Amino acid sequence: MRQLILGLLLLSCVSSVHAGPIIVGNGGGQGEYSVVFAHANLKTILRDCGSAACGLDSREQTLLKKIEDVASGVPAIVMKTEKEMGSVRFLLQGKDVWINQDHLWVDEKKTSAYGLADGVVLWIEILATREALDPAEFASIDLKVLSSLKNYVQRAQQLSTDFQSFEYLMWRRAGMPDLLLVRDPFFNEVDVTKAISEHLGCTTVAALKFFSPSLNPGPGGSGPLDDYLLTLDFGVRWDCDSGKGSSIGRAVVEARRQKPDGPLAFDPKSVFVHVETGGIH
Amino acid sequence: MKKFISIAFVALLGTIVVSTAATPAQAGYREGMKGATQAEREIRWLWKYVGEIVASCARSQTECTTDPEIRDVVLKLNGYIPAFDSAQAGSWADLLQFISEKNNPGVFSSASGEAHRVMVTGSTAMSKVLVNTDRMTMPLEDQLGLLVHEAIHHLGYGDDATRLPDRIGAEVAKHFVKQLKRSSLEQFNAPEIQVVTFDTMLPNHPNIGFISWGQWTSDVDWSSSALQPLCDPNTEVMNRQEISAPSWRVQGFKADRGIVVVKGGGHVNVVCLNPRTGAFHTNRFALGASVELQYPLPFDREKWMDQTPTVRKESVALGASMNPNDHLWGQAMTFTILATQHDKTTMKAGETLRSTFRVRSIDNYRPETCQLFVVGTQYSVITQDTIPGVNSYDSCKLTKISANEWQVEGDVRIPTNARPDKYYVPLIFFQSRSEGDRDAIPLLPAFVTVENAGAPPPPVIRGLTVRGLPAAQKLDGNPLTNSYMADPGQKFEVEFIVEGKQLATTDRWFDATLYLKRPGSLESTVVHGSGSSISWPTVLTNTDVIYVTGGTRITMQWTMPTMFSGVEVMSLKFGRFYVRTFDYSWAEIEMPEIFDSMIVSSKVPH
Repeated sequence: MRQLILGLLLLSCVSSVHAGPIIVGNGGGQGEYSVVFAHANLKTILRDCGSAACGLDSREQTLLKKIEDVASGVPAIVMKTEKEMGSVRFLLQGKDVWINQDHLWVDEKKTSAYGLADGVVLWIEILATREALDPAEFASIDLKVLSSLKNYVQRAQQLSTDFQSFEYLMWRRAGMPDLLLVRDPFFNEVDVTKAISEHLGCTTVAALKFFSPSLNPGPGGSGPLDDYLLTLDFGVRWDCDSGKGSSIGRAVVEARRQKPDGPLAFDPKSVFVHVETGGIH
Repeated sequence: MKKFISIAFVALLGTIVVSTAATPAQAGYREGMKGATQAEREIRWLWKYVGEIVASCARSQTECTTDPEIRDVVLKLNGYIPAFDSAQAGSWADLLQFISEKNNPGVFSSASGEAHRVMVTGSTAMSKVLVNTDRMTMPLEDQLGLLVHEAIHHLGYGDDATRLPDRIGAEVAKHFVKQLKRSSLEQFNAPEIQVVTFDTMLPNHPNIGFISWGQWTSDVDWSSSALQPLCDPNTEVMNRQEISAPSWRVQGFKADRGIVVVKGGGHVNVVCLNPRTGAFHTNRFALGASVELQYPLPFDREKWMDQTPTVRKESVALGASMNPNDHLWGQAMTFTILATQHDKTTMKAGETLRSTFRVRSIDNYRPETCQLFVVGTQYSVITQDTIPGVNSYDSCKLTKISANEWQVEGDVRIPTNARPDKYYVPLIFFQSRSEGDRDAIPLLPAFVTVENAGAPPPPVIRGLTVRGLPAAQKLDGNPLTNSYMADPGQKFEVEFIVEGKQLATTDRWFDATLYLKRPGSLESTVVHGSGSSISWPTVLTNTDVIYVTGGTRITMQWTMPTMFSGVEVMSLKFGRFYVRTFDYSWAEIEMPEIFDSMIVSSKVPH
């Protein structure tokens, strides 16, 4: 009866303004979408999370790597309602995984839907279960993933230079310094967070936030092999044992070829970082 | 300084493609997006361009999904969504409807009544899409994923257990994120200001983007036009664009009014194709982005970065720039200032200041000469063509420290009549005969306090008059104030008095904007002039600078322009008149309102 009333309400609300009726269930939901988005990006997210973003220790990294290794074979999604599958969150059914779409809420009152972090944690649990790994071992990983991905700002942005893609990643992590990485096509990374912390003389970091990164190719090849200079400019705000401040920073790294027409890769020795701290030194 | 002035005199900045003051809300190609909230306006922008984004995904064999099931639907979707500049674009835009779940209980519930949807729609083409205004907090890319989800329902695909609409939305959103550049002004405590560009990777399709904050969202036009040709209009077509996110720095202060001008540097690379020869080449432009931030008064020169500003809407500009000076904020800014030292922190006007900097080049550039500029915080020479210095140091000496590091040292005598203020170096400029120009721009000024109890009061501009023209009431149906009408080619005179002991220089005098004929919109270009008529000889034909008792009288002879870059001129709008004096002082009056202080052509609709 309730559904019938809802249907009538819907028709009375919208029938005059659209070509066809709004279909009950024809709707994008944040929870379902987040789980599907996490599914579509799982391998990349787990790799980024494991390499630096989520602050895992070595044991946790090893555990997460097991999940990352099997993430390519993620089962196909089948969304079911609680009526269809009971009160469990998911069920492994052969090649498929049934996901309880009525459980994709962070709170019982269903005011806050699953986000990306919740979706990733769900997939870690699904794959750990499938691989017969002890879910308890993943408790600390789940917490770190949730805390790291909850407030992410940008996952990755690309700069195509000479038909090769370089990218930076920026992750805003609750209770931890933001993570800013620059990555070449071979997954060599420059950890800008670490370099800037050292540059600022921080040994203990209370807060380190990056803003508006902009990755640009340098003013042209300077070497005989037409190397590229990649410059990442960004706003930065910090609070650490050596002081606090707000300014603009810059990280520069050279991408070199080992031979003519060879691929471009970072020269790790070329990294230069600087933050303007203003005032009179 | 000679170098800069010569550039400024010849530069006609015809390239600021978005000035919010110049883009009244309208449906179509370039517009201020509708909506009560920033989130709503940005969702409307996504919906406008979802076809471009899906087309980009559909065309790419490697950068978007390779799953055949998903690709098949993406191709169908690509055929369904009308292009943003097609005749159906208006109908498409009208499909979005924003309503509150709280005020419309049940509308966003699932069949079981459990889920609260973010958006809902019908299962037939061109069904309305209802957006839940109570759930618009998702990131931009997730909103896009859900809009794609809704559009797929229009093709008849339902929300079955396999969540095909979500899977396709996720793939398109993933593609969107990869090709997205975004920037905010969070380091200036203005995080809501968002600049977004998406590289469509489609031949002959410009990048798409917006600039957005709490009160306004403007759709950015990156296309080539007669006014701003990005490729040779006679022989080439645009093939691709690659645009960087702006990297923001302080351009200058207007401390007496609590204003900090920030400028975004970067690059706009345009790949042009000659269809006859098949040859490609890349035109490289600077990104020209500028925002004025309004801080609380009185302005606190030490703590402003911890305060929260508002945006001066009329100041916002974003576009590809043909002005060579904009490279100072982009590709030419390869020097970093490692250390700054002034030989005093407080000084009296009339004394000499010695400043020393340690700088590092990041690109193995070898400077031959240098130039240091000095400016105060109350009257920065901040013109729209971006020259940040008011005066240059009297000397500048370079000493090499190591392979890429240099010491820059210079002296400047502050004039005896200089206004008391905090002074700083906004720009260090380097030149090399073989390697071109480079520069360094500090973010945080290292101030020196100049005291001058006997300084004359600042000059003031008064008595701005326009002679020889009748008043104009309307332009394109919009009521005008302080405006006049002229026939194309008609001469008229503008005069103003600069009251003050300080004598005005013969530098530039005004910012003016040309509004050009374009059906349904005003396209604008900002044009800078000088006291002489070098930069705009057919329009500003003569300027008289006469020193009179108590000040300087400046009289300019104008001729109403007819055409600009082949496009009919609708009006000439004066945005600002400003004067620099010989002893580091400065006066200006601004007319920021769009339909104020215009000279409109008698040949266009009123």
